[in-house]
Amino acid sequence: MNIQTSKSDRTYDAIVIGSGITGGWAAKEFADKGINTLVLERGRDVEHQKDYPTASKPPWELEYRGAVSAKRKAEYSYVGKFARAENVHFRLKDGEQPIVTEKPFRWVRGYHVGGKSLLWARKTQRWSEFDFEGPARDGYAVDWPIRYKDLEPWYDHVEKFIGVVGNRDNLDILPDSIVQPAFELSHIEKHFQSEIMRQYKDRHVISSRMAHLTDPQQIHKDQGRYRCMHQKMCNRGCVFGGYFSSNASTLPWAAKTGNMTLRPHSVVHSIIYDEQKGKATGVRVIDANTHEMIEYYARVIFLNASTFNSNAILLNSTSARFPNGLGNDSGVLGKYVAWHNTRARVTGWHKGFKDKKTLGKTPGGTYIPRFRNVHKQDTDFLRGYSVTIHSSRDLEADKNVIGSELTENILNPHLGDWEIRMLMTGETIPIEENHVRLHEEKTDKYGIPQIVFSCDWQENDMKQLADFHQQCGEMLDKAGFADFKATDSGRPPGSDVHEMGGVRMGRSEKTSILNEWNQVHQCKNVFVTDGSCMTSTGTQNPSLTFMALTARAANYAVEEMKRQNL
Amino acid sequence: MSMNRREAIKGLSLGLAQISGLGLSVNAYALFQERDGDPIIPAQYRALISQIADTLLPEVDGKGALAQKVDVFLVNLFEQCYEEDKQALLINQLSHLDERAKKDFQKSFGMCSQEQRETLLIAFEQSDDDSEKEFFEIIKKETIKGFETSQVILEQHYGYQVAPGFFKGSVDITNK
Repeated sequence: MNIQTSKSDRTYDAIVIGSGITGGWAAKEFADKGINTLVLERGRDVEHQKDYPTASKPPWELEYRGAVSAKRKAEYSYVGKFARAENVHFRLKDGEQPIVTEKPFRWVRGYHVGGKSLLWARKTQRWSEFDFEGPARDGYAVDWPIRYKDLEPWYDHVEKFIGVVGNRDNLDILPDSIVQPAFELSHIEKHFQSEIMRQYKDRHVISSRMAHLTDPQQIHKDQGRYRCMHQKMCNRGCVFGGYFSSNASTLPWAAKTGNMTLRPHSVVHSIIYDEQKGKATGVRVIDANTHEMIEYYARVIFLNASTFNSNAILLNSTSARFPNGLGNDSGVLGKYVAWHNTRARVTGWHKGFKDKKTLGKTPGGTYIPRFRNVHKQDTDFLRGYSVTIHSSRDLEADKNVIGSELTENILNPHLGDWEIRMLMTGETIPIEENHVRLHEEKTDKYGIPQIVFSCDWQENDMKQLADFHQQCGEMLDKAGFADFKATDSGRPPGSDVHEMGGVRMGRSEKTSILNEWNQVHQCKNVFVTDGSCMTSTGTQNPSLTFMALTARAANYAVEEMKRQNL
Repeated sequence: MSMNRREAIKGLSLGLAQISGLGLSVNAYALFQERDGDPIIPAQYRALISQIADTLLPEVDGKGALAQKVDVFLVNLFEQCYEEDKQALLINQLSHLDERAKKDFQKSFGMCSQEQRETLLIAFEQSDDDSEKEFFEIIKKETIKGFETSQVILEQHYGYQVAPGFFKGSVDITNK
């Protein structure tokens, strides 16, 4: 990369920092509106189809059948046991970005074009008014500056483009999405659904809404995407584009307009603030290969670097005007971080329905939206949790023998009991103590300060967890399950990969960093629309909401540019 | 750097493959992946790994550990994916197993009957010695894994399809 280019060559209308699920959306919206956009990605390029080395490979075609060589594993010690051949190439290499954990924290990163959009769980649930009103009603965090009606058209906009499967369930707690045909439930899930709906008034068991294509529309064909082929290999990149990712969808779309420039290997150091102009003028980038610092300029900057990196970039963007980080007069930047509690699991076994089995594979599952403390406070903890359900009736073989009996057993498997697995997604409450900040001395190999993590569970989380165990056990019991097992993984915060906040939206610049359009209160041409903007966390998988917020903010930014306000 | 040696091994194994009756453990050499430096698991222990895999999952209806080339998988896995301490444990116990065979049955493991081999392996499984026990657990677990993830077994016995293109949640079982 020639960095001797003139300043005008390095000047764009908009800069988008990050190419993940929200960066891709910012890029697409800008490119569609004719905005000359630079997308900066700290990692390498990953081109749709071409750069998915393990896509569509059956187990016998994977080197070492999916195990990772010791030599390679040594490069991914932070990833540890999660290093699998299927997608180790999309994991974080040691030494890329050391962090300081004052309290245990697991930070999952996706440093390549597309980011974690290649690896996500693809669950797409809208927030409801109960979520936006939550903090104000229950007295935590600060009031959201927007409500459901503000985001509703943008949920529509995003869903039409990405493709969402599911049913129209008509629930106040989970507004309907624009859907394509849902994935079918398994026999045991259908049974569970009918029993729970019959025996509980407040609980809804629905087919998971997911960012897959079951009936591709013209808009999806125009993206070069095809129907989901039920490979169930969705964490490797999908050659069909059967699930949504930046790589399969928004980025190639933006590229096709000719208005987007994508620059991989670009680690953003900070945002440049111009004291005279009273606004940001660009960003400082460190080239990951040469370690040279390069400046890029734009009228508008979108920060979509992932929750903690967006926090860190703002904290590192210091100036005489903002000695504590860009837009941080309030001192709340980096604070009120929250996530989802996914530690709890309940597995149940049913002895019945021996005459039924499943065929094919499903990337889907079943979902129970939050039912605790919805219309009123009815427990001794705040908020609640949703339940994600998967099930199976697998072929089993007795392997407690050796010799020809073992060969025969494996060659002649039998169907086992129906099994159902219930996973918790609990809303954690943002508090000031749970925060990230920059280390005063330690830096990474780019000379950027290391991030210090100081995040811990609260008593409320443990009460929710106990209630989840108890309620799931009760539901399984009522649905006639013979046995169940409740477990707590005890994993540290961050393992959920749903980290949010630190750059929260709010009504007042005294208590929040962003306004109702995701603009930094005190630096209006900087927008932050990834998970860091979240005021509270809800119980939904958050990516759909991040995308809707991004599309809304990007379109607002374009309007403001037209009005010469930016 | 060991190019010549590698070429030599390849040539040798190709030559040997022509000769019948030497068993898959020798033919399999051609399938071992190229690696840096000397092989971690010496030749006599590779043969032993093949014999153990063959004992755990002998051929039934043309399918078994050797027919599915599980021994090739095992050697590659142990050499490339296992940490040094576990590799040392495996090599020590392989040697130990062969010695036990000689002591108990006056012949090497490879020359023992299936019944004698099973007796030896079960003694390791039920041993009070942690290393013997762990050795058995590793080699059994990985042999089963290699077998169960092989194409023929997955496709013919577990209905595996890469891209079925559908999911039916509730299908009547008619055959079984």
